[in-house]
Amino acid sequence: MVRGWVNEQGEPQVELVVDLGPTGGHVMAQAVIDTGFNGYLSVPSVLLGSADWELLGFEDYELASGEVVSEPVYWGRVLFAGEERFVYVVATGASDVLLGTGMLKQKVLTVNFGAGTVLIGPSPGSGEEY
Amino acid sequence: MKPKAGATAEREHVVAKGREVYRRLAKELEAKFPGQIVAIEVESGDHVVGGDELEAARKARERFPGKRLYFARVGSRVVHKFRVLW
Repeated sequence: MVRGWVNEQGEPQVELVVDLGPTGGHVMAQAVIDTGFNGYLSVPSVLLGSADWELLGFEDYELASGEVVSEPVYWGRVLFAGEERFVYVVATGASDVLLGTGMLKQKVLTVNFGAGTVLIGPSPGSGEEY
Repeated sequence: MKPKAGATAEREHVVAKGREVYRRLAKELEAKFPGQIVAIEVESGDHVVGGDELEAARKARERFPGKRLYFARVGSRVVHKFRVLW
């Protein structure tokens, strides 16, 4: 079970560890859970200066304004929900780490805006336990 | 972080070639793999398809190690949408 909180801007957040490799180290990031982002993880480009992540190439994505931009994508590593996993990471000019719906596959996300709490657990029948 | 000039040129090259290859393959891909992710090795025009971007990336790393790829969602103009304005 991953526990998070609702921040002062009313956004659900969780902590995850971004593994940048021997030079960059392990960075604890407060990721905003963005159910409007249908990818895995979006990370500010500035964070990746010291990462050993493999540059996969590039993709086009669409901003809320409708503008299409091309940005680099990486084969990244994070520690999330008790496991180290490889993820497809989009590097952007944004300042937040965004956790998208790709990271929530086989999971249940519960946000209690009244109490300010966030819970991510395994989906019943997914075979996952943590 | 401001991208280096070389990095920007590489991005423009990969994206332009990737879009061109995608246009060539669009009809076939859209009939067979709607909504899936295609990873295109832009120099050869060869490609792999995955159910999502992670699967496409995993296949592409095996098949085209060290090569730069262009990722596209079949039938869509973009791979991802960010619905929040920064």
